[in-house]
Amino acid sequence: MQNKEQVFQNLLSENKDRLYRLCKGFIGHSGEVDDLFQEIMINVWNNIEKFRGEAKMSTWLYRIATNTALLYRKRSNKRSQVLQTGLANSASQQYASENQLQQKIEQENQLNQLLKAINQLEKQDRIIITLVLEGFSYQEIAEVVGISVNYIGVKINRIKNKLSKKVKTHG
Amino acid sequence: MDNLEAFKDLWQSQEQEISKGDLPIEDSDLVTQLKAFQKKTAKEDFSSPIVGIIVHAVLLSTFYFLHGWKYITGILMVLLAVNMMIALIKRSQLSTKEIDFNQQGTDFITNILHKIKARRKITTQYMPIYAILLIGGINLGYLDILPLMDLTKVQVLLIHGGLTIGMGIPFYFGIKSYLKKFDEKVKPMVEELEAIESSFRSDE
Repeated sequence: MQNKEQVFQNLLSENKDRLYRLCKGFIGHSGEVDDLFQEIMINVWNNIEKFRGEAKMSTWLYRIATNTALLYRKRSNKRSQVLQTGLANSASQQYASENQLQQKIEQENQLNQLLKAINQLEKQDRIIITLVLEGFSYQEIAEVVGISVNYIGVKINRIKNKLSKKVKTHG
Repeated sequence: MDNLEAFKDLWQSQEQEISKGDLPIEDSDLVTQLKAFQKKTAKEDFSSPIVGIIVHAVLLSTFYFLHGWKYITGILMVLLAVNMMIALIKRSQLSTKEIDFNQQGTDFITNILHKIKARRKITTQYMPIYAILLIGGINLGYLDILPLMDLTKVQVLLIHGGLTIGMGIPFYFGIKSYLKKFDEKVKPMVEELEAIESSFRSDE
């Protein structure tokens, strides 16, 4: 294995955006997302030398992220708040045309609805659906979570139905 | 917006915003902080074996001056108790360094639940054994030490009784209070993990 720091930095630069989005889906609370992200980083760093090469490095990474999220407990009792991307505040500076701006704000609202809906799911469902939304295949999710590919299909279908209902109630 | 593909597109549309600086920390800062954290935990890991070796050396060196069988057996009982607890605690440690995050989710949960339950078992089953070995060992050792002093039988009895009660009561209440705190803090986590485990394993 290359030097630990190098491997870590390569992994991080290739995956950090995706990992951060996963934290948003797993947790769905602002403030807590940063905590979870940093906890994942600590666990990746501490476990990097134990990587046995039995799975792809990315699968291993998302396995650590998922396991960290499974154990993650809220640090305080502060009131849950669905993450806002803050796009609406800066949107007027970034989007020239009124149409583009409106479109972006609409997209932002839909995203907040989706985050609120994900936030209401059970922890295990949140983890699976976030992996699905990130574009992981059934096989990859099965390898991360440790359940059969067939059962993942069944579970995703159930979660998708729950999610659709919840998004509609927030719409 | 009610199909999975639409949700996926929407979810992945966050990509640009995140790359623009939503992340909490820079890569280089993170590595520096992680290295500092690792150094600190390494120091802590290093200090406990040293303390352990010193305690063993000091206790065993007293055999040179006191070598009655009661004293030797007593000290060996104390050392056995201490080492038994260290080994049990080490095996069930819940610090992130002691947990194997490389496992698949289901196995990971099963192992964590096993560790949590083992930790409770240590307190309920092994802590009393530890207390008996420790108090018994010290009392036994005193059977060889006290005759060296000019004490009456009543004084000897008072010392043994005081020692037993003085150590036994804090042990009893300490275990009770630890279990109460442990259950308050850990029970919700165990219930949540058991629910997740059963949800993940319900196809087997």
